[in-house]
Amino acid sequence: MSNDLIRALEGALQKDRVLTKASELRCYAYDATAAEAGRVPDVVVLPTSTDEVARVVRIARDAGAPVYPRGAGTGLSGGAIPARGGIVLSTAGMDAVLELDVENQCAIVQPGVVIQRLNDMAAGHGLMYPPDPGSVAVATMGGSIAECAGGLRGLKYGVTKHYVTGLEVVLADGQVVRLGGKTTKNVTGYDLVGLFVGSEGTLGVITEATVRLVPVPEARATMTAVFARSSDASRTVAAIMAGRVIPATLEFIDATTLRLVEEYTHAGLPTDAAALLLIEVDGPPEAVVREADFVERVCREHGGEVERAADDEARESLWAARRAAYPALARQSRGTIVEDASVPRSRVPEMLTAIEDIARHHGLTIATVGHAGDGNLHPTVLVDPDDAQLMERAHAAVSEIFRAALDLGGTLSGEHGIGSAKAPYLGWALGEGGLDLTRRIKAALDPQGILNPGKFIG
Amino acid sequence: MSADRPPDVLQAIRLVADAVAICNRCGNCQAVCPVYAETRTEPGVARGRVQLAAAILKGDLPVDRETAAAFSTCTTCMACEEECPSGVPVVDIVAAVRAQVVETRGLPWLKRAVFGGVKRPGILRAAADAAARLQGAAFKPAPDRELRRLRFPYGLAARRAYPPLAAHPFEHAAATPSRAGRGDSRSDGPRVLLFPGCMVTYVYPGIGHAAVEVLERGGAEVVTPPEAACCGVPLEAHGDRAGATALARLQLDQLEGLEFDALVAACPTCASSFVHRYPRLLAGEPRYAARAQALAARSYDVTSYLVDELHVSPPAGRLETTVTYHDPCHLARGLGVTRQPRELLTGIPGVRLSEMREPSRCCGGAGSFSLTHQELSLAIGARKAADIVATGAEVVATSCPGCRMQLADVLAQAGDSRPVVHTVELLAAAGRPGAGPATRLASTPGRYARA
Repeated sequence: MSNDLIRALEGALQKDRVLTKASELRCYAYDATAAEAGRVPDVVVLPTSTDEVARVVRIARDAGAPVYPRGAGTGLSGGAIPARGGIVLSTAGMDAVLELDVENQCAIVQPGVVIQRLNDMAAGHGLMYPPDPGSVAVATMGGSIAECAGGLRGLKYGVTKHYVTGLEVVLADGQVVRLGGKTTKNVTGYDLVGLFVGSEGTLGVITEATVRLVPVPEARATMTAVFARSSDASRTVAAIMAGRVIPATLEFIDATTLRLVEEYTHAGLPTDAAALLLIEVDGPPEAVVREADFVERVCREHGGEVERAADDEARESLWAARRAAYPALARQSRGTIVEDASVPRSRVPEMLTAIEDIARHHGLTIATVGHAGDGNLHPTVLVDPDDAQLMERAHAAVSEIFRAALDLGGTLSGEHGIGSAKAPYLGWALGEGGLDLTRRIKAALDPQGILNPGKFIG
Repeated sequence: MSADRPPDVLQAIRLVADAVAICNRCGNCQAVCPVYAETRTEPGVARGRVQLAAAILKGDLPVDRETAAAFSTCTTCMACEEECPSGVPVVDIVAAVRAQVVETRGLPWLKRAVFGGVKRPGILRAAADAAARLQGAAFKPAPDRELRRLRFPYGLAARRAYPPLAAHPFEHAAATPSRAGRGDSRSDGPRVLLFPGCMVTYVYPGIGHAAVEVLERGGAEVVTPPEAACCGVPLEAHGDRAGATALARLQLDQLEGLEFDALVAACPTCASSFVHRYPRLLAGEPRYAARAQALAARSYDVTSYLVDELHVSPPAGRLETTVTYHDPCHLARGLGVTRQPRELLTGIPGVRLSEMREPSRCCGGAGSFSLTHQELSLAIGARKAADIVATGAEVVATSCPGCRMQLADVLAQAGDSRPVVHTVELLAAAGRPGAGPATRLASTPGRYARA
């Protein structure tokens, strides 16, 4: 990277918002993706306004330099890794909630706002922003919109794309466009907002977003059900859905995860159990009681051992096993590859069997938790990044998991995105036609290929 | 990229190689790091620092001034360690890199001079005495209370308001090697060695006198070490592990042969030195390892000792006031003590506890960090000040002299004048006659008048 480019960036931003020291650059070489090698960028910029973002992109455009937009760097598909060197553009410092419009139940935020912070502010008005990825306490609005993050409430509340109604985006040529707005309905032209949600920074840099908020449910009920056979848990999920009850949370925890969580927490979890379901229903109090009673009955009818929380404290203890899942896995291995292949809900049992077979075949420990209600599973391969032979087997297993999900009518990624980690497999899911259309969209919006190159396609 | 030293000479940092390897880079530390909340940059958070340590270990990053600077902005508040799903011992890693910097490059001359004095208690005392006499020339009185502002505007230093050094440092009966003098009325109670530490000795002797008062009221006989000497944390914080280890030995030597049942400190950083740091620093030294372990087993923070060991009764007097309590990092996370100070405070008749938001969030004081990184320290402290003000409490209590100094400063910066006290000061005041809490807090504790 030429000194001219860095000087130009220093001219466009305050000098201390341009990082060039080796120790600083190294801290932007990675994101939370275990299996993706880092790459040290040439320079990091910390813009504080849309105008500054546009200036950076124009400088990059003129120099033909890559630009990697970055939020909190907590993504799980390598989306924020500067794969080919160049400029990392961190929006973490643009973290103002510009407007909380209680009457219209929406908020306008800068991209660096942490999701949890928006939720904390909205809670003061009885509102919430439902998308809740596991990284909700640290992930930014910009990053989660670029990745179209999901979360535990996806089944009932949908995912990020269902909440974004307006965007301000800096395009690859440095132009600033404002798309959509506060209205719930909007069919004025192409769905350009939708185009950028989940585009992973390959089409533009999100500099502002308008998102819908919804009322916080009045009441909720939480229970866990432990099953001796995994198939009983799956049949329970099907029966709950057949009863036209949509839980806010319907989490599946497999036997391997239960064993690892128990080894870590010694919380007294049944280690001989094959599966545990964590179920939460929410809504008006009367409906919650009715639905919770129904869910409890269904669980018992399918052989589930049910524990229902009487109060908030009991709720927390029921959630403990799910919350401990990731720490338990993280502490018992030197690395974790967390995948997120999704299948139609009815194919979850087959997918679970496929994952078990793949783990056995490759001699790997794969622990699976998942959002059973929406078919989004998180098979997590326990790895050691320093063990090349183990990593090779893990990568082979991961690609077989992708194949299995696609064969079951599912998809590569439910909520983590493609990034660099799944880029080699994108064609499997999209087909030649889909891949070609994707390339044409990319070429139309970013003909030089300067925005997040090495991700998705290109 | 090339390193200025081959990795095989990286002794200090090699000790934490396994700890570095377990970081999953999930970034959850961002949620709780007080420094990241201000900088919003990756070098200012545990994940970034751990990855830098990994790069140094691989030989990809030199151990130079720039790297040292990246590791200087950690307050060692341990919030990230509590949050970390993988259990990465971040503070150990930060300490190891700081030690590596010193191992590789040596101490800067100023720190060498300062730490050289700290390592010899006689010199430390003489310097503090001189400073106490001369401080009128260097400080100008701040508008409120006991705080003073630095008179010479050393850059941002002009913005900090610090309490004056005490005209009379904390002193109490020094322990004698045997229990010879113990024929008196208190012979039934335990003999407590109160370790005052630098902050209590030279800045807040009132905390020391209050600690003596409440310990004695609880039935203990209180003695102090023969010489005031630093616990060594400030040295270790700047990477001077050899100096810190020398002080650990000095402390053990000084206490050798003294008879006491428990060592108690009113400064959680000092207390955690005896509980955690010395056994670790001296683990490889046959002459000291076992003694450090044995001493660790009977070392306590003063609030936990009062509650869990002495089982003190509530004071006789009443204090009609609302108190909010700030948890010091090294007490809450370092020693796991959060319940005991609250029990002591709410045990005082008339005291109502009004909890602040995130009471265990770092106040930004962090020892010398408040001087070396004033802007960051003040920004972190400003959030704490706002949280305190929002409680509407009349009095702020904490259990650390360092936190007390920082809280008093940042509240003063925010134009707020509510008193900040150590838990034992409030407890001692409640046992004294007097009108309101303010007058009783101001009343002279012990034998030495406050400046």
